Amino acid sequence: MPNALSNGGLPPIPDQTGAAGNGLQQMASPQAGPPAAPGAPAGGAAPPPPPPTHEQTVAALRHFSAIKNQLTAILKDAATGKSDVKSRIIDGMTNLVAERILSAPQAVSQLANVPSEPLEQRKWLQTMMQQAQSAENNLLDHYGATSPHFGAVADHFEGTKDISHPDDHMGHLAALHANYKGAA
Amino acid sequence: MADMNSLYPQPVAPQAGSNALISDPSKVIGLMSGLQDYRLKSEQFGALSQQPQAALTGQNIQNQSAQMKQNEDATQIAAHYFGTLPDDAKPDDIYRMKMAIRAVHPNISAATINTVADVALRDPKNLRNGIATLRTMGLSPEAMVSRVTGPPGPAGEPVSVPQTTAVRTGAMATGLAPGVGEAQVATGQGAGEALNASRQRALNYRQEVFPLEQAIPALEKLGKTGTGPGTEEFNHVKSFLQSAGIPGLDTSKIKTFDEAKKYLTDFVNQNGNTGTNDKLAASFAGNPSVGISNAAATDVAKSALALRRMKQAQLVEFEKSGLPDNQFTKWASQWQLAHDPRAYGFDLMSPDQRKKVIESFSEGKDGKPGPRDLFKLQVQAAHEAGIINPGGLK
Repeated sequence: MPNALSNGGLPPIPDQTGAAGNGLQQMASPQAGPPAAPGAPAGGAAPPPPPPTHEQTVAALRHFSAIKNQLTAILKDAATGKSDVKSRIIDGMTNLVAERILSAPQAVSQLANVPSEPLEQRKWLQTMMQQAQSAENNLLDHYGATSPHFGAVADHFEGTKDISHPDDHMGHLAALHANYKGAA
Repeated sequence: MADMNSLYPQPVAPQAGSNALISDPSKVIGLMSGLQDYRLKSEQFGALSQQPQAALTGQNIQNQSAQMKQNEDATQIAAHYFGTLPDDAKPDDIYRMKMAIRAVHPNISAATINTVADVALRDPKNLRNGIATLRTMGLSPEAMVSRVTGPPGPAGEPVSVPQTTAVRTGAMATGLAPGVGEAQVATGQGAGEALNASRQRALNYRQEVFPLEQAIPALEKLGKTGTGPGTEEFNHVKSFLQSAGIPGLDTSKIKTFDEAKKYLTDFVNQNGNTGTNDKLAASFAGNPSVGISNAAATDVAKSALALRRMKQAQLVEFEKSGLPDNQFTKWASQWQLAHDPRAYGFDLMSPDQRKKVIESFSEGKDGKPGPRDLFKLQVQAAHEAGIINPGGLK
């Protein structure tokens, strides 16, 4: 199952240990640190990433949701943790490629990291799920903090209609990744 | 001079330190009071020393309860917003709603919004069902157990459904199209009246068919010239002569003629509309009587009996169907189309007539049942219901 965040074209992986440089998890958070003042001396804290656009946010939420759906299906399987479920993980990865959530090279790269031990596989899947959930939360928090709307929810909802087509999914996600990578 | 008192034993002098307590009992009381106070305070020390911690714990619980309440409210608010999505919402609509809630409500955390959205996005049935679940989350406990008007029942009757069911159903019609209800009322009323009339008539079924069952053999016995125009007067003369003791008259024919006339008259009186003299005359003209030719009278009597049996069979089958009373006319109209009245007079026919009737129906083709098989089934059903007698009339 994809790491969702660390692969090429995707936002960086949140750090499991909470150490510095945890990519999206830290950078997407509004509390990640004060933004650098204009004209700040070079060598200081990195500037905060630009706020995600509407299109990028929809694309990222779609991305995380698709990954979580695949992970949930495998984690619910009673065989997970007891026997080798790599074939199921491959199936899930194939679905994501078919849905154009991941590119084929990204999928191949992620599959290389799947452990062979059943218990390790379960742990790996759970880690992926936590990372996806955490990154999703951080991204949405970042969006909310940087794009507040002073009106009704319905107005905001209507205002974002047809802003992100699934065909543009990869492009929006790549742009989002570039924003966070540039700020790292 | 020496003190005389010194010669006697002296009392023990009080020791220093204890003198004060002995000399002043109030001090003993004070000391005892102090000891008691100390003992009490020692016993209460544990509880008193915990007081600050208890207060802190209480405050923590209060804070946690308030936090839980806030989370609950936030969840319900988010569920409410997601519940406003249409039934045909797409996953992208959920994502956009997530963004809208987070942008407008900074106090609702992204974690809460994502968790609530996952209820819909990961619903095992489909997204529509997931959104319906979120709608129920937005309902108060009182609203959850309340009932609302639902779609009308099969017969147009008003139906109430639980609020939670209505939420899952989405858009639904809660009433009938204009005019449909009025038509159903009129139809139902008409059906009820028709059924009631049929049931009332069935109460006297045996009485109604008995005259015909008696008249038909009598008519057949009289022969071709036994009845018809003028025969009544002729029989009247014969009857007079018989009463006068004139020998050589066929008394059995006189009796049979009188019986046929009596039963046919009874039948008309029971089944015809005889409210006035005119109606009575019309009823006699349209019913079997000794005033028409014997062949016609016999056939008409048999037809009248078959039709009456058919009505009875129809009622019996409707009662067996278990349908509601207001469906009677609709059901009866279809039943009438599927049944042939001749099946209910089959026992009244001669073997030659039966053969002709059966041959009038076409046979099925390619092994499939045809109209002839259907007619035979009707005859069999009428026989099994006791409507017709395979041995004919006795």
